Amino acid sequence: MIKMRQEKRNEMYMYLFILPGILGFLFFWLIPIVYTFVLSTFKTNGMNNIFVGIENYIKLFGDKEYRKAIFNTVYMVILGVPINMLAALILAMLLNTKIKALGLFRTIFYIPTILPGVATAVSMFFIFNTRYGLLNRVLSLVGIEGIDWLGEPGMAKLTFIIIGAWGVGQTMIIFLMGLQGISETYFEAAYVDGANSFQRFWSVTLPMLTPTILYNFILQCIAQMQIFTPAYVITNGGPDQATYFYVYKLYRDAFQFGKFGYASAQSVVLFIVTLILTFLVMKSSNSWVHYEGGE
Amino acid sequence: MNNYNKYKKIIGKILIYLALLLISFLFILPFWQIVSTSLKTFLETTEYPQKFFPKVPQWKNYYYAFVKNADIWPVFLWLKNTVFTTLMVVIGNVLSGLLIAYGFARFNGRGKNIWFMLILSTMLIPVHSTLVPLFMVYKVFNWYNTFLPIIVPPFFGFAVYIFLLRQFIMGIPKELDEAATIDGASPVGILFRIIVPLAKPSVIAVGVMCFIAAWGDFFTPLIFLSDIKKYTISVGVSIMQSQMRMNLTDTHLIACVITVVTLPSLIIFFAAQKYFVSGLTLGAVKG
Repeated sequence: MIKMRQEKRNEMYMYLFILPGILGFLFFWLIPIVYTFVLSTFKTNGMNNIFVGIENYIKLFGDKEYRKAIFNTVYMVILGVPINMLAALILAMLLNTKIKALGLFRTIFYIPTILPGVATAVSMFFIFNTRYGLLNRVLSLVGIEGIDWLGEPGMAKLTFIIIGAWGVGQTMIIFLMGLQGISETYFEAAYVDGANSFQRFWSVTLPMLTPTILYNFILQCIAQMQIFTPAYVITNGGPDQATYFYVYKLYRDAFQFGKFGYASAQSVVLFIVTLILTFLVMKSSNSWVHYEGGE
Repeated sequence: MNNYNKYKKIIGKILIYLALLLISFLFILPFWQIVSTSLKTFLETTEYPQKFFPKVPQWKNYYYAFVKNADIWPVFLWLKNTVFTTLMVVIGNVLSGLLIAYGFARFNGRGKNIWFMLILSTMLIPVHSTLVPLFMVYKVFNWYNTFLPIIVPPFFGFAVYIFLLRQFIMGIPKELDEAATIDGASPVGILFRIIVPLAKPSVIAVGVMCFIAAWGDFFTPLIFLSDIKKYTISVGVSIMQSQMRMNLTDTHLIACVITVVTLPSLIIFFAAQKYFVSGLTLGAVKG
């Protein structure tokens, strides 16, 4: 009897404490998402609502801008994610050596990730300026002249990938912790077996790092799919819509043109694609992620 | 060890240093350009080729950017707004995070795991797919063009912070709570008198992470604030930038503002570096 009363009390306290979280989940996540699904079947500017069924989705197929935004975003995911991961891993491996001033380098590589996105974006606007940017100035010292980083459509996307790589510090730190977590004994065993450094990397480091790779991969995909600030600040989606990304298109339709129904359809697609992608990555992870001590 | 191996090792080390120095240089270059531009005259910013250093540092640029041009760009007001919203967001997230995390870490009841999974699942949801309806609702509530859309949601918890704080609280021995309960302490008393002091480094870590995110937040204020006097600094700077892109004037003044905007992030980061890394570690390894 007393025990049951205690259990009830315990449960009451739990709900009392987590209540803000439950309310937050309902009001800022669940209901808005359900509402987004509903809105996506309406033509609405906030005042007049006309039910249009799946018309918004059909319109998306024919929307040239939307297709362009999808293409650009997929481009960033397919090219940007591996490049960023590789850059982060290389930096982490350079830092995972016994060198002096390690903390200093780590800090230098990490700092860009803590700066306000807009400040970073404006800095990038400066540095990549063809005429006044110091990057071209530096490159001219080694004989490379006048690259048009942001003005030429093909180049602009690559520049955006480089900009992304400038913020690679977080991924790098997580890789670094993953690397430091690998027990020395594996390397010693491989060394005794006569493995060279590449073989040690390939058959010890990489498999042991797969949980970290999975974690970083998901975060990177999500980040690249939602890239917005540099597109808004540096290029306004240009040149020739080369940096017109998914969330930028969503932002313009919703908050600049007030096409709430149409933008909701885009939100729904983003939501579903994100969930499917995460699910697929998690599902596939069984076959390639190696957990220490597990099967 | 023979000489060959010794040399190979030394050369390897030198190569690593060279690589690190080169990459560091590239990482620092954007800061360099911003700071040096902020101290150049307008004429110098239009020079070609661009110099690495200003001829004479123009400290008065900062006066122009922050005081003289206040009618056009109320930078101080934007900073004030950002300080206010950032503080509220940090307080909201830490407070709600502590309460919710404590509830999950120390109490049991039906549905606990379901609620925990549901709240955690929001980490994967793109926030942009929730903003259209929220925007419409806030307009109805007259929250549009106020700070409320920015500062209210944090008081209802944010998954990452809840998760981190729960990890921290679970690391504190439960016997301490039980002893305090016997002494007649209430759950809220235990949370704030026993757990918070013990988890102080972790609470600071979450506060710092939250500060960095809130100080740099752009999308939310961009959507919900329309009056130039209500802008946060990020939105304000983006407006300055769009004007600069059109006529390329005042490059040096915008560089002053950028320099100042990055300072709080840098100061907080260096002041709390060890907490910051500890927060990251927990998030990554246990996540």
